[in-house]
Amino acid sequence: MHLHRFEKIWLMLGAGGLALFIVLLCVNAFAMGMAPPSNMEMIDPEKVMETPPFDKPGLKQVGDKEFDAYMTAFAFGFSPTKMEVAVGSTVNFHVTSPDVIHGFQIPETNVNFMVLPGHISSATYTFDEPGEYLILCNEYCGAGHQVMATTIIVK
Amino acid sequence: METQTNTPGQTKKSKQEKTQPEENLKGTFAAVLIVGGIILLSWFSVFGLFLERA
Amino acid sequence: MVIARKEEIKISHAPIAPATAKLSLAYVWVAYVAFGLAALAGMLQGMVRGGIMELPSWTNYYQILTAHGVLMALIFTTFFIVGFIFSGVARTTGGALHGTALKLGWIGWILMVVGTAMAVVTILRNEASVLYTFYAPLKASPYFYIGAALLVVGSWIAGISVFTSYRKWRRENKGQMSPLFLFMAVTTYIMWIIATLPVAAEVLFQLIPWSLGLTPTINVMLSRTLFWFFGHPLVYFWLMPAYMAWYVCIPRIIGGHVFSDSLSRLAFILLLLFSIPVGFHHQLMEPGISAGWKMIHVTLTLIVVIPSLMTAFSMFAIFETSGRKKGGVGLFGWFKKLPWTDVRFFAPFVGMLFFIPGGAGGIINASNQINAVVHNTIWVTGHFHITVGAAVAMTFFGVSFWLVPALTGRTLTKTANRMAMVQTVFWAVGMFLMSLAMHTMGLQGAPRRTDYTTYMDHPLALGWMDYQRVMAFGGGLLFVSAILMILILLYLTFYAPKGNTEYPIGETETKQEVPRILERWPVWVGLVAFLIILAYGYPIMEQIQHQAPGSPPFKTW
Repeated sequence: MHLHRFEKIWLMLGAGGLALFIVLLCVNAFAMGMAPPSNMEMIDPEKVMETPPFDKPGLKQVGDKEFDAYMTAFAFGFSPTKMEVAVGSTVNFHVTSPDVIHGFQIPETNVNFMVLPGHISSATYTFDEPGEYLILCNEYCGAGHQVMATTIIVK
Repeated sequence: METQTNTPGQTKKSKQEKTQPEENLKGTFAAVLIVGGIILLSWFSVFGLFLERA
Repeated sequence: MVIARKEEIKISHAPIAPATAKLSLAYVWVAYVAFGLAALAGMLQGMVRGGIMELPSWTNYYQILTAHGVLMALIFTTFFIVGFIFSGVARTTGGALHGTALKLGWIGWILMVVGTAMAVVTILRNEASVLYTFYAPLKASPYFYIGAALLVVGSWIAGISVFTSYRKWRRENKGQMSPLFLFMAVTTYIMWIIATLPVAAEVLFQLIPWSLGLTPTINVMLSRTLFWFFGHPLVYFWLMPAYMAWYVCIPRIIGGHVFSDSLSRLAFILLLLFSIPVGFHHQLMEPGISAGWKMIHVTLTLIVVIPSLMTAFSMFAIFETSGRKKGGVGLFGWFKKLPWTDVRFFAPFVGMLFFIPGGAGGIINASNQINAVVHNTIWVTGHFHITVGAAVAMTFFGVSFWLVPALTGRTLTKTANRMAMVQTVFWAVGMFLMSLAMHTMGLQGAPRRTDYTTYMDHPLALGWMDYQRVMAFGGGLLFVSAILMILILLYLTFYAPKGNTEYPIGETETKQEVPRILERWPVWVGLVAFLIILAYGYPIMEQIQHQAPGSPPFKTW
């Protein structure tokens, strides 16, 4: 099989570039702790409303400026509906669904994950800037999908 | 052409092919390097956005 | 006698025998009927999302979104691909499909049409607004899933038909390497049949029994894994026939030669090997799959970029060598020598240009944690509109402009060519504006698959409105282009002057030796199986053994 000299160089550069991407991704994911949300916890989707802590969704302070946010994503909303934290707070989101698949995204942050019934999704974010952050569902979940949103106020 | 199956002829041909000077593909090389540049540039900008938003 | 002789002469000039042409045309036209309806649905979506119009109360955004996705991504593509491949296989194996292949071709067509009709009716009755990904536990009517299964089974039978043609050719041409087009067709169908097995399993063993109420709950995680096991190779099933046109037909159209026979085949073998074991890169943001397995799939995904890098080089090389032969000098002088006014070249070429940012975007999407920036944002919608909606679709348009007249024994007239150029420009500009707006909005976090909303007038969402209007405008241009496309095809099918249209099949300049190993299918199928077991064996076993409590069905629309 004949390979033109330029094609050889091009494929080597290409493969090298892709290898560089892989190395950077691995370092960033595994050494710097930025792996994508991959929580393995499970829950019975038909019993979400009676399973603690999702029976009482809300913020729970777990440290100085650190919170656990236990939330449910359902057709078509999020619970709790109002959340407020101080600037600089770190929030660990734990979200599950009692019905269909939903999305959980805070635009212009890296908080973006799927919410599957039967699973608990988790992600952490530190809110360094004050504002009213939009939380929206980014996976189609039914007729009211476009109204499924809430906010978290950072003061 | 299609029924030509005798192997000696084929090997002669391929040898001939190898001794031929390579085609001028400078433009192709420049073009794929531009493609590569676009890939690198866009990847690093979104990676940058990801790091900035962390 | 005289009439018979006339018939004979006509047949000898046509590139494809009438019976085969009829079959191919039947597939291509179903594709374009679906395309027309899908384009209408797409335009309406753009207008609604752009805040320009509201839908009447008897329909809703998600219903037409489902129609658009199913008709474009599943029906238009599959029918066109099957029809195109049949014609090309016939063209490169003597001009006609043999009896069995023809019969199987029609059986496939009937199954696929029945499946399509079932899916479309359930969508129209608002019993299947589940989008073309039909994620459980959203539950559509069982007929929707049965329709999808028939579509897939029909395409398998079409694939088997191509395999029989291939076997026949091999038997009759012992010791020879198969024609490039035929080889690529076989590779594409092997990939397709392997890749559709998991979705067939999902539909038959999970979705249909569950939607009929025979099983109370469904393993959601497993259904998603099986879907994306199929979902990513699906995009390669769209891409590979476009690559076939690029590698085999385009060189002939521009008066050049196939760049390298063996490298073209190698690229297809690599696509066969690496397009399947990569599905987790669609599931990077979900729970229940460990970060390590995600990274394995990401790595395999980035390997599948290599055959596309090879394709980029081959395409430019074809252009440069043929442009230089026509007198192009200097670094880029050959570029000016390409047949810019020939739509058979121009449309696929514009498609190739779209594939550059499309490929770059694809690498970003698949890049593990970086996916958080774009996951389920409208960036993704923009991404597949420039890949399948531009690169692949414009190649199919370009192919249609010569394929349809070649099948009907008519000619692509100068005027028709000019109209097709206009159609191409409208499509390109519309797609450019729409996808640019989508990519930009996506980086700001605007979600995909979402009806018009301001999120309670949140300032961020209000900032997306201007982009959404640009998107709607692009959608309008695309719709105009789609209407033009259908009109041109009607003309080419029924009204264009009779004559001989070339079915362009390129050849290499000198006879090239091709390594035999490339045609040893057991080797490649074995390697595919190995890679699939490596990538999916353990995760799927885990998902079955340690499954989350199942989900009952929901109809939330």
